[in-house]
Amino acid sequence: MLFLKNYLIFVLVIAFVSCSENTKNIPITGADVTSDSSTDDNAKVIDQNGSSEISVSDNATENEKSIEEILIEELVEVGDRVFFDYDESRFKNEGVETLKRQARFLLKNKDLTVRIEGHCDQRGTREYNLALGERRAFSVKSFLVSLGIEESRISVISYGKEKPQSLNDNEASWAQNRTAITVINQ
Amino acid sequence: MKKIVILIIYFIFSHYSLLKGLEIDVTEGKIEPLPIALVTFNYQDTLEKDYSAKINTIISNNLRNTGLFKILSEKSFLQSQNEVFLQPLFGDWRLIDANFLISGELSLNENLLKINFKLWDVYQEKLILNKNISGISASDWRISSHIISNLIYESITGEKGYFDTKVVYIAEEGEGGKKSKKLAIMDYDGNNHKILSDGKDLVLTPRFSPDGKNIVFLQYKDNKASVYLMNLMSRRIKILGNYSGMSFAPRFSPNGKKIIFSLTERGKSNIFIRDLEKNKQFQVTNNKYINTSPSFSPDGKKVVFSSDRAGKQNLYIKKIGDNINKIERITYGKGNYATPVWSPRGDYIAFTKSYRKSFFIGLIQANGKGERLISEGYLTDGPTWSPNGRTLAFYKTVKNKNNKYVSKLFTIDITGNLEKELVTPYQASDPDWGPSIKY
Repeated sequence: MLFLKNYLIFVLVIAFVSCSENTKNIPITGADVTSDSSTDDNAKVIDQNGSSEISVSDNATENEKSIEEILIEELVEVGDRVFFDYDESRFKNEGVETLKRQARFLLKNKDLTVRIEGHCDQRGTREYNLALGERRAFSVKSFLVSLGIEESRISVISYGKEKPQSLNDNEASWAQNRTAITVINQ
Repeated sequence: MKKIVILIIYFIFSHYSLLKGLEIDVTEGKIEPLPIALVTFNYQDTLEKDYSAKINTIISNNLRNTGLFKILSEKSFLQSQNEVFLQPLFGDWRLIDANFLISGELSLNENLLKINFKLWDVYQEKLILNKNISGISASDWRISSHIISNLIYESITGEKGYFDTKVVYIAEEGEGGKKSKKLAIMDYDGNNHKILSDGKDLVLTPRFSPDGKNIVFLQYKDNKASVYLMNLMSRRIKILGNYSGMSFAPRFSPNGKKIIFSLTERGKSNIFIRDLEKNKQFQVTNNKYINTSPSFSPDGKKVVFSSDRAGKQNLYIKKIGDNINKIERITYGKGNYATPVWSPRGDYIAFTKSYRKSFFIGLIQANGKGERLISEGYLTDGPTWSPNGRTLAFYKTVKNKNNKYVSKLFTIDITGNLEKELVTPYQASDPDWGPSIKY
């Protein structure tokens, strides 16, 4: 598997991350955010990859995380999503900095491919929202490409209004749902 | 109001033109349902009695569902059940204001049902219908009820009956992003409910082929959304084409040989038609905007769709084969117009409109005239026509007991007056009303 082949590279990447940034930001030490159930998931992932004998032995020995999990958490810290105004497919201005950080993250983790998931709030018709979510996801992709990320590393998918982040019926909740989320392909 | 009284009188004396009358009168007042006496069919033994009662229930539900008829209570009947079948005393029926009278007799032989039923016009004292239905297996009593309902409806209204039709829709369980969505199919009245998919993959917008044997729908698989086809008999599914973008918003052409749908490419959504026999496709729109929710005219020569090329979403009509840039815009009102669906009769296009905080189901003529909004609700969408083009089904979110929004199906007559819930065992969205089932 590609993942296994690149395993050492990933470890190096993590080492690099650990050195280059404050250790307190490195999720590997964040044992308290990992629930019991996700530890189980963690074990499963490692088993699936047949790499149970290899472990990341950093300063978090009691709570091992898969490489994916570490990278996912890092992406969340970098900022995995940008937001949009109602019926807009150009992300809000504050998204520019988020996407610059995402681009740095992707330049650093060259083996990662990601997909951008475009979402809409529920105040639209089903099929139009599917198209709008696609346009949002693509506007994020184009921006990342303009920052030097290879087009082939980024796919887009629209969920329209099918996967809302928040279920309330108010502007704060809708604003959360008008988003494009960058997700690492596993 | 005067117009309606005239309309009803007109209807009483010329019962073949009720809906023609309605067409003129659609933007006005309420239609009074017409009182009908449905006498339980005569029987000999308790087993026959049982079938007679069940069939009576289905016929009265069917007629009541149209919103056009009021079924009179049997308690008000003056003449006895057995007598009326031989010769109605019309005066007795006029006393309770029955405009039409239905009676019949039923027998069961070697598990086969035989039904003879009659329909009278009470005020004209005239026998309108005298039909025999035989050779139906007793287990198909429900189908025979629908056939009888069709015959009654057709001879009173002059419109084709739709009581033997199916509806496909999306059955929803759970909440929000964790909602599981499954393909489901049922009789138009909610009976014979069946789930067609396991809920693992997100599915949306199922639509029937014109023969009712297949559906086309959107499904997510391996982080990709694509149009799929399912054969309802074998339940086998296959993907439509092989596209790098997302294919969505599919519908069959009226002859069933093509699928029209949207396809995304670099953020754009354009409309394509794929020929299922030749496996070739043809592009209908080509621009950088959103062009989606295409629906064929009944003759297959034109397409109506929604596009935001002029800023907000409006409805456009394009003649197939015309220059790609030649197009006609038909909506100019406030708000967004989406999800157009051409009536099988060709007279109206149903659509969803959103304006400010409200959503509406509306109707407009293909020439852009006569826009009317017939239902309003928070998040209503997905209009679909009954095969006779006189009733629409759609979905709408409504608040339940716990003050939470739940999604439900509704039907409404095109007059806009007769909205009622189509009860489903699950939360429901994206209905599509299929054709009559062939026996």
